[in-house]
Amino acid sequence: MNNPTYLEQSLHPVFLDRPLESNHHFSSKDKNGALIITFPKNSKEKISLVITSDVQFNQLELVFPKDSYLSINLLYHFRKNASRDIKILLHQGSNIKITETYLTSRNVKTNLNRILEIDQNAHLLLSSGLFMDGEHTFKDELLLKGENASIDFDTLTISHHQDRFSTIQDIRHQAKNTVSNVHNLMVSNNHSTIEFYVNGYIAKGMSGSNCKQQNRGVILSETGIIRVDPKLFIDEYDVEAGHGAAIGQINEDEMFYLLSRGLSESEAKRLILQGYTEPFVLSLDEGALKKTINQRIARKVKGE
Amino acid sequence: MAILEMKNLVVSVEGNTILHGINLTVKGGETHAIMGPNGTGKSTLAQIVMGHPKYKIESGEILLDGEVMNEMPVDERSRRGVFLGMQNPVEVPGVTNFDFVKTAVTARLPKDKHLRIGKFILEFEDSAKELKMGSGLSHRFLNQGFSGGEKKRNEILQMKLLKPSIALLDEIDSGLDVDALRIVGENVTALKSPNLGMILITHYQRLLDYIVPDYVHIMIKGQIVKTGGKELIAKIDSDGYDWLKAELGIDDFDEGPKQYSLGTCATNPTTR
Ligand SMILES: Nc1ncnc2c1ncn2[C@@H]1O[C@H](COP(=O)(O)OP(=O)(O)O)[C@@H](O)[C@H]1O
Ligand SMILES: [Mg+2]
Repeated sequence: MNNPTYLEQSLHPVFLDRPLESNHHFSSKDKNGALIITFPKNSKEKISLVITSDVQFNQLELVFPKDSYLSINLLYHFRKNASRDIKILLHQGSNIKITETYLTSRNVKTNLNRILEIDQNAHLLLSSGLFMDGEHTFKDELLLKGENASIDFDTLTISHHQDRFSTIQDIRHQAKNTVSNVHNLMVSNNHSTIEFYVNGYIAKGMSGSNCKQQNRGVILSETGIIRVDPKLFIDEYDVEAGHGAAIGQINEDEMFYLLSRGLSESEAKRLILQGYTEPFVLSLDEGALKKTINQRIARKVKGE
Repeated sequence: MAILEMKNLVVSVEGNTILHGINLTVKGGETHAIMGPNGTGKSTLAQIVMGHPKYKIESGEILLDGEVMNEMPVDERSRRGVFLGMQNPVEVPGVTNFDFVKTAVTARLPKDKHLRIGKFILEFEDSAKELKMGSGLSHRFLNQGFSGGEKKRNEILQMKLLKPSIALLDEIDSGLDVDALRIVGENVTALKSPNLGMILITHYQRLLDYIVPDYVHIMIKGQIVKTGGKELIAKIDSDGYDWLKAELGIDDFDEGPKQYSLGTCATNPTTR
């Protein structure tokens, strides 16, 4: 199996590529090649799930029952090409925080299709850190299904060398008073490309809904590319919606300001980039995984 | 004691010559005021001394303690003791004020020395208090969402902690209400010492009520056209700059200055 040690050392990890032991805090069942995991309502310990490219299922379903209240870590680790369908279901009144990290141990191609369904009065706080090498496609379907459903979705993508990341985020407000807040941060180095297609849909009748998207990207090299295409499709008057995108090289005036206080160029760059990476890194627990991620970030930012 | 000298300094921005031969010497212990109408090149002078990459020295020299620093990197100028309090301090999202100043102070320590963090925190807090800045300030992102007055005070806070030997304060009075102006004025005056040479740039006299200069220079159209003592301030205050026009035979210097902003859309994100 040979998983890197930081996977083993992360908090109480449950490896989905191994036979699940019976004493786990959640129930699981196989259904036609799909693995369904139902979480408990709450748990004293933080639950960490490790999903590797050796996992045998094609479809994974994570189910959070009614009124559940949990914080979990998801760790995706790919050593070979993989394609996965993942469904995350939040039932009524659940309040869930998911911190997910994507890593690879070499250049691979992955393809992830996800559906995130959020029921009435449920809230999902989802932070994703994408630190993979290679070519990666994400397709996220965020469905705000029940009244007062809400999601805060933050991503951090860092690419270098020839990496290619392409992410589609479709956010569908399918009930009244639903709230979505999507915040994408991107850092592109060397010849890498990051693309984000962010689409917010508010259907007719879904009054009181609020759909916000923010995208910020910084390009560290001459040939790095960041493309962001935020769109709003709104068929209802009584809503709030907004999007913004700010992409560019490190701002010359920001740089000058920091240099004028005596910071070296590399120090100034480090501080400016910290503004992108820190929100995600802060959401991680102390430990081997955090250390690994900090090293990954440093390596990508340096272009090594 | 530090000495900053400008000798026949000619400076251009994007192909337009803005400064036409500036000669100025500032020594430790001296406070110089540079006054002049808008668009006359005052900020250009401040930026070129700090080394902003947009501004280009066409000819002439800037010397620090007798050493030509035309080509010196910006960060080295700072570590050698030059400080620029900017007219429009930049907002840097994601970097906290405290982290930033701490990094800047650390950068000027000798290699074998460490920052004594406890002592530094106290100094930071005391300085913020003296400037009557809110206590939450250290954990806010650098200048982000600061009011005009808060940004200016934050510049002075940094000056206090970085302890420069040559300081240029570019319109540190703009955006300040009367009380804030007094606080800033008192704080800057308290920093006066034989080890600090200062250039105060302003186009109002009001800042100079609080920080009394030893020399006053009038700059018009990229040249220092007159140098005198504090008596010049009162004259400008009552008569404006027009009398100089007649006296020196300069025409149309107050044609509407063209407005430029630093940065372009591609590199200066407006939405954050
Ligand atoms: N970045 C720039 N690009 C183009 N022109 C500039 C730039 N900065 C300043 N200028 C021009 O240089 C002249 C002097 O500007 P500045 O030094 O800011 O004047 P002051 O500070 O005295 O108001 C003005 O005409 C201004 O339009
Ligand atoms: Mg100016």
